[in-house]
Amino acid sequence: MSMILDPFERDLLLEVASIAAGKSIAPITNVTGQTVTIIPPRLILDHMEKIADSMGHPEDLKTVVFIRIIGDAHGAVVLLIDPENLNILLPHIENNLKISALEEITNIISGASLGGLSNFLGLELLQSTPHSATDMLRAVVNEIVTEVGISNAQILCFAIHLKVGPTSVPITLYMMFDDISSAKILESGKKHIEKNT
Amino acid sequence: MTAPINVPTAGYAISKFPDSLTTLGIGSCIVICLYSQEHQTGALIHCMLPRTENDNSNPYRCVDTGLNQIVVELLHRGIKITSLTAKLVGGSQMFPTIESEQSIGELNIAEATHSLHAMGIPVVASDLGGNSGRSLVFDLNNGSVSISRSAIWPTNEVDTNKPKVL
Repeated sequence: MSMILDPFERDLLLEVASIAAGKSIAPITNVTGQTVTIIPPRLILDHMEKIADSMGHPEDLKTVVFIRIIGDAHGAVVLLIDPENLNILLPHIENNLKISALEEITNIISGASLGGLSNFLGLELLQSTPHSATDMLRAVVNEIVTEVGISNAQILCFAIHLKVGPTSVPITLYMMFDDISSAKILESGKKHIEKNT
Repeated sequence: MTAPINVPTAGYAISKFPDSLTTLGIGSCIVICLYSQEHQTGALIHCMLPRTENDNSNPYRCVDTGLNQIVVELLHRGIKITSLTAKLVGGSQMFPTIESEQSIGELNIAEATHSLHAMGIPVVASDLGGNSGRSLVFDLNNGSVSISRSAIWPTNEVDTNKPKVL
């Protein structure tokens, strides 16, 4: 199956991405105690081999936290941050606990964002435990997208860019869905709009 | 010396000396470098998955279709299979805490090894598995493959002082 979006569908999915983005602010603020700014989400619909390169240079060193989305839709929540920014984001946490703390933050953000999407779409969206790695961007992200896109190579991805604290530490949150789940999300979003207009 | 030809994920390149080929950020993917010393010609494919399931829009995404395609292309260029040797790089598991019977990296290694064996192309060297990413440069002068890894965070020590050469 190959998905092509018309302008209405693109706007609808951006609205869905905005709901997820909005729900991510409070958990980050609560955990870090810092203000959070959101840049309007971006939509990526492409083959799996293109996804990692849309996130940055293949050899950029990134800390990546990955959580599987299970339930009525299948995909992944992926949080990306430059490892040196962990000290700015989590200054009061000991170095050897920073990754665990980031995994927990991602877990909370993912729960809030997926909860928001579940309510809006009427789909049950659950999450697995977080896993993390710090290495070359493409090496890490390609392993995630092969899991998401294994049944069909096309992936829908919401890219949510956040800036945290006075120094605007950039964090990017990606929500990826396989093609069947993308179609379900679109269908559920349309139903929601029909019901409410 | 010209810059190496950069091969993207699920991409390929075939070229001759004095060119060289490179591909960056190899994790669970597998990179197959085929080389004919006789022709000083090399081919590189960067595959993500072992076998093609439903979407065959890009044959180089998967080892089975990608390897077939590139060998046919080499044959069209007058390079016999018997003159080829292979080097394999990749097949890591970037998230070692994920429990699975076989990681995607291991499946990629198994498929590449099996397919090359079935074609009668010997694997003369490899750098496979582990839990870290790799980049490589494939020198078409002699078929050598130089592999580098990223610095290990948070110590900022570089994994190897010099690139590993296959």
